[in-house]
Amino acid sequence: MVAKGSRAVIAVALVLSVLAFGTAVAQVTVTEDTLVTTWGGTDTLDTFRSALAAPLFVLGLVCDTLFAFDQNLQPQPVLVESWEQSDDEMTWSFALKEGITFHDGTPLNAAEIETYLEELFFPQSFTGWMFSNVEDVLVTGEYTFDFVLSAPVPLMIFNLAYPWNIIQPAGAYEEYGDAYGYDALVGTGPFVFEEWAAGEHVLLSRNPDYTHGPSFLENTGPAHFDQILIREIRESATIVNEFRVGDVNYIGIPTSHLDVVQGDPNVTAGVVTNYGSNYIEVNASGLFGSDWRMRAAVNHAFDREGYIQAGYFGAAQPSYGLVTPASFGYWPGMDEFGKKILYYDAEEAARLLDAAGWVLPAGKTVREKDGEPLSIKLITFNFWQTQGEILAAMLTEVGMDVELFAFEYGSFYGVLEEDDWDLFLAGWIDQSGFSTLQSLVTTAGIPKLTNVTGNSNAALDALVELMNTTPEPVVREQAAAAAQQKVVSDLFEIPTVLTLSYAGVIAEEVGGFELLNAHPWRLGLILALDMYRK
Amino acid sequence: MLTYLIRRLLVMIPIVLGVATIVFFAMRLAPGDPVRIIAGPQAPEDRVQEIREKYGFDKPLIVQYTIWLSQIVRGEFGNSVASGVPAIRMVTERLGATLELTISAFLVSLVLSVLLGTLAAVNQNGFIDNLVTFNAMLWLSMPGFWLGLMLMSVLAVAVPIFPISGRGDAFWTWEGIRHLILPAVTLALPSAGATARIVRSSLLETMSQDYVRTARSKGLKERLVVSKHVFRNSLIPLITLMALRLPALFGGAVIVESVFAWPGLGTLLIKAVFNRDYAITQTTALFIAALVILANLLADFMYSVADPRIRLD
Repeated sequence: MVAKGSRAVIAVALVLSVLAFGTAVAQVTVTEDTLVTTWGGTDTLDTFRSALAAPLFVLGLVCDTLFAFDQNLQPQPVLVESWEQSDDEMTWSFALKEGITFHDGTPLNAAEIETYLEELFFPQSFTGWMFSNVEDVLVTGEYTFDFVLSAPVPLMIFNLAYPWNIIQPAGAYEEYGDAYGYDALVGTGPFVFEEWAAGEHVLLSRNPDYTHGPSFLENTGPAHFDQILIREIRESATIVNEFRVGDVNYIGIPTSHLDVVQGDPNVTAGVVTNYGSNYIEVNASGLFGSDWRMRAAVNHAFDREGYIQAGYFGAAQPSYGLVTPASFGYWPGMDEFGKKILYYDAEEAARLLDAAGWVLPAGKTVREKDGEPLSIKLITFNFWQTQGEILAAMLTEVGMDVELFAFEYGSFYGVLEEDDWDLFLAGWIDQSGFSTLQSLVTTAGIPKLTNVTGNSNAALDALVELMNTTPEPVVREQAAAAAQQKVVSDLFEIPTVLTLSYAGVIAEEVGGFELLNAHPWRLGLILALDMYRK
Repeated sequence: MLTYLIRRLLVMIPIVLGVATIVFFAMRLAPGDPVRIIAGPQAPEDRVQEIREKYGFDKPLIVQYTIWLSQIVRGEFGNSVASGVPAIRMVTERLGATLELTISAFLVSLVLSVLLGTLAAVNQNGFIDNLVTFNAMLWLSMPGFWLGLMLMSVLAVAVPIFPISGRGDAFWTWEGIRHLILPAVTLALPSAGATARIVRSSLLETMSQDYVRTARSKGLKERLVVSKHVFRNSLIPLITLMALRLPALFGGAVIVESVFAWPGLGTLLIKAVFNRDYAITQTTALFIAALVILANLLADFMYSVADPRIRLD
């Protein structure tokens, strides 16, 4: 037994020992020349470790790609001065802009590009497969290099503009090892990575030597702001409140929160066309896979207007194609074409089910065939549970017995591996300009996890292949249009709604917002270079 | 005393390992592939497999478990599959913020519950008692998420007394305290509501004891009766309850951290669970289990402070 005083001392010491952890707080001085914005955070900024979209926001400010997509989704040179494809289409030649250095002082030249691509990027990047036809990176001069191909890649510069395909110095990877992307990020971009206080913020400072911005921007030189402070805030209501009191200058929020800030005269708000393409996927090996009439019944049982009102409170548009204006291969005629096939007609759905042999017995609510009930499994992500329930109700109306299974994102690939589902209410946010069609509907050329339907269609594969490989823009557009028409006609993917998921909102005192608002996604380069304090 | 302390600390080890073992298997039994999640659907399978092999995810579950146990014994917690950084670093970077928040909320909850519970007990069935009961039930009924946003709207936006979010500065500075108040109060109020009811009941029960009646009959002032004779003898259930509340505070902190952008373990844990980042979830579970056990140890010390008849050895 110890004295009472000693016990109290031990108790206090225990409390203080745990409080001792709470001393490290990162401080940032916010000045008039600081642009303060927010993001949801991520685990790493190293693209060789994560293919998630979150890091792109910071990467786009710190690192450059050789090309970048302009607001019309055309690749424009950033680090490249000139380029050409050989007549036999087996070589791409590039000349780099001279005098560019990485933030750690490493000069950007052809040898650096060769080392980075061959030793790091091609073998380690999750997007390295885009360059599987590059046999060799050949240095032809201090600032010139060739891609020697095993097969033609007419869309090479589109691939080089893909935002994950950034150029970094190989030496930085060597220097920081596993901590690269956490303690350090080195690029050639308009902002220099200063620090990442985990869970709190990322701080970037202006790169005064930056002179190589793409020509589609007003400002191609050093950024107007001294620093960018990116605070990690995940909750939308908190982001809006921070903006309203003036602590944050630029935010991206769900469009459902727009009305809260739009009434403020000090706010410039615009909907960034960050399109979300949503659709019902049909399992080719399931109940609907072998019978087009069954898939058509699902299509006609789906009431887009009712779904938008009940599931999105009106904040979505009906969708008639998989490819959005922010994605490569978009065809403007798709709406008109799709409307002829994708429409709500419950009676037609019932007729199609009858024709497929699934009839509604007298006095029952679920259709049957050979004594078996029409029981189906509908799966979706947990954040679309409400939308899943609405779709299930619509399918129930035409005599289906629907079991809804909502899972969290981490279970996605496990659920797909089990392959125990008939319909999948799914979606895809276009923010990179990448070919949605190639990812979602083809079974050739890329890893197959994205085409979850398992539908294999050689004609469709050929059309998408043509779209991706033809050097002729007109042929490309025709192939893209034909592929999209085929997708909608086959009904293995049934487009549902198009969501304009995020709104970019900027404080009145900050200018240079217009192009960012016009671009298909929040391109970091625009944010970095064009924005200024009025 | 020292023997008792060592024994309790030794008992901690199997309990903490047991908790982490449950987390280990629960995470791996849940569907999902951590490497595929971070690599994305378009990544080539051979590259994905290469990463699986690097982290040992290709090995049988029992082998993974054995490796993990041997690492823990050596004080290694593994690297986050999502960031490549040691899990222990990522967890300790955020541990301080969570401790600040939960300990502050714990203290706020303690002060509020004792104050309001005592007020209610000494004014049994009166206006104050009813008012305290009403507020206690109100706080208990409000979801932490909603309560946080309401406090934020009123005290940070409409009347900007406190900052909206973030951690500000070290907790002993004025700026640090200003940032801490809203999240701590949000986390504390539901707990305070429940505890205040227990304090009231405990005090009322003690007040009906013979020795309290004797104290009153000696002519002692009511204030002295309550503070000297009633309150101290009612502390044991309060200490027990507060120790039991601590795990709930850690749980509640996950939501409060998200609302107030507080850079604690909660947001890290949520991301880790969704990404199936095993090293982070296991390390976080180890730390939280250890903290809860330490809190219970502290409660045992407090028992002996409150009641000298209780001997720790």
